[in-house]
Amino acid sequence: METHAKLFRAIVILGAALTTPACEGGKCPTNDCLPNDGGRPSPDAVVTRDGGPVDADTSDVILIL
Amino acid sequence: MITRNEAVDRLAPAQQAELAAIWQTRASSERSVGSVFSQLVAELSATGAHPEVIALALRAKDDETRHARICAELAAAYRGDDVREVAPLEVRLPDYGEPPRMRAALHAVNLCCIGETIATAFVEACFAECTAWPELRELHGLHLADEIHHARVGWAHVASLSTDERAHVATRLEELLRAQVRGWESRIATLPEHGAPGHGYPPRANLVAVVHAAVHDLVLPGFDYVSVDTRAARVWFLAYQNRTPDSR
Repeated sequence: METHAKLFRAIVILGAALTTPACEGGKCPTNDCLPNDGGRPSPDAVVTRDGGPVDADTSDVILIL
Repeated sequence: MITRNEAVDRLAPAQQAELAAIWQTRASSERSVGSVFSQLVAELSATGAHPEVIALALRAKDDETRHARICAELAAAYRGDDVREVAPLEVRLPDYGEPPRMRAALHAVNLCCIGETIATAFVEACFAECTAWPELRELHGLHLADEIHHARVGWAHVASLSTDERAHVATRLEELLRAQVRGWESRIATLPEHGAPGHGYPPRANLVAVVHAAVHDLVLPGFDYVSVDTRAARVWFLAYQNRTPDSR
């Protein structure tokens, strides 16, 4: 379950964030935002355990899994 | 180039032959997926998809060619002979009877949001089973990283669709999910019933459970996250999971 939560973050949240403007001060700058605490996070908003931004390059994937 | 490991030598000849056949089949399958990604790249480009989506899909096409080569090398390692090249296999995604932009969206949903997302959980389970051969474990780790990128193609694209387009995707979701779940179960049925301990294949029943958990934990919540109505798909999936043994 914990692994799936990490996969969900890596795949769905970061995937969707690629095509959606990031939140600005918790307010989505578009009129088409999704119900996610006021808007979508930018990729930089999701961090690995060591505090760095997640990327699905190999090293990060191994880290988040 | 992958070199045969002593862990392979310790397997019975029949197990070596079985794993060689499985990896050779996977090599063909990876080539097919590469062909399908080529189709998807063309469709996304022609229908005005976001540049990030097109770039990710293009990368996926190249990844699948590399995966096919790795699978063929693994097959050769288990056979103990030379790599057998995999012929390109032209596979086309269904037409769905939709206009081009919606057809591209449904292809991204089918291939990436559902298929590649389930694949991440499948490869993760195989990764955990690679205890006998460190190089095999490393390869599964790299494969998992690639599958995450491939799955993102779909979620990134669906998130960029209009509200009306996402509503239309919802009307086709149940049939897409049904076909994918049954397809995965059919492929798993060709794998060793008791798995290949240490060599990356959990038992069949475990893999089916992994697929179902991926639908429950990743795919359906993913569609909820990008505002695609999952109610009909959830009704089907719940009934499918709870079906009686006689109806399977």
